[in-house]
Amino acid sequence: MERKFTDLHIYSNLSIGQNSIADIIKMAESLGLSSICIIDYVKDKNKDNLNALRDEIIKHKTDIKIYTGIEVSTDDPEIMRLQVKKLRDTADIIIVSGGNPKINRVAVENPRVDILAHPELGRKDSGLDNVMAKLATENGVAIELNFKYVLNSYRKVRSHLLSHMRTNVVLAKKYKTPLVITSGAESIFDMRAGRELASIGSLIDLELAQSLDCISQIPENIINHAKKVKDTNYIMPGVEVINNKDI
Amino acid sequence: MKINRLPPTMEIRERYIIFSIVSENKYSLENTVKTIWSSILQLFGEVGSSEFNVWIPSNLYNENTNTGIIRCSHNHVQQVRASLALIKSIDNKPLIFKTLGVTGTIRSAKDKFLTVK
Repeated sequence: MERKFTDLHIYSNLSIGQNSIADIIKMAESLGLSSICIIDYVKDKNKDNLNALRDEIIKHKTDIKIYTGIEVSTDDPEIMRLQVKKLRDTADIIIVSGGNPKINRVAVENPRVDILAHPELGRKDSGLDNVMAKLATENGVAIELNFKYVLNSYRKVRSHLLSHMRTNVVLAKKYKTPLVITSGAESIFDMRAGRELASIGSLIDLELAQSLDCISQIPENIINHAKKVKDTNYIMPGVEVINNKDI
Repeated sequence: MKINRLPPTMEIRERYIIFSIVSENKYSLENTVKTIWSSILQLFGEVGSSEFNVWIPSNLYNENTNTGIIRCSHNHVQQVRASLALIKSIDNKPLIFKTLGVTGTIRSAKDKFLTVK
């Protein structure tokens, strides 16, 4: 079975990235990715730019599936909760920018969040503990391993970063938390092909099959789950309307 | 005196990674080899990389299409790939290293990826 690779974390020039969506699509095609997700960056209480993003994406015809997502970045748990609640129905996936221990904790407790991005960013520990990993599994929040920070750091910083990521992988393996590997690309030269992204898994004790799942199977599950939750027939986990006419 | 070949059971099993550089510029063999080696050494160090058995055959690098082959030990393919993925630029020009495939012999690498059909 040939795997289809997905990159869930790419910025365009409509948010904090440098390149236009046309460039991103061209690069994704040449790297053999089958679907990408273009992320809009929302800082604190700022408004989202999702409609402009969606209008821009419709203009381009391509075989690649393109999703839209929101990254919420804030230091206040309350603002995060309100933003996620407000934006859940508009975006395909919701990413919360981690790093702050409070935010990490609130994000893994929130079933509306799809991905907790880089929980180890700017910290002297991994940003997750066993309680958080367990909560993330219960609420279906995936933990992100961000390729951009590995790429742009070197020597001591990279060494610490990989060691924190390894701790998160150990926790995720133990509590069966979903892991995703994303590029976090701000420019098209930060993007990588599927198997190159997966090779980062080999640096942090992931088996080959597991790291391939992190960029193919698990992102697909995340998107399908988000689609299912948004469906009007869906009521709560395990309860959905199957046939409207009989009721 | 000629040195004998290792007995078949002791031979190092090898894989050939075919890479191509996604960029508008053309890169010389010398620069490419230097960059690949410095990335491997930075990531794994001298002891780590000694296990990989890395060799970049110079006659198989094509400067016009920016494609080439890296030989490595069969259980360190992922590590070499990771070192390729972590290369950002050559001479401050941004680029992407992409692997086209992995084969067991040089001949199949040539047949499948390097010959123009």
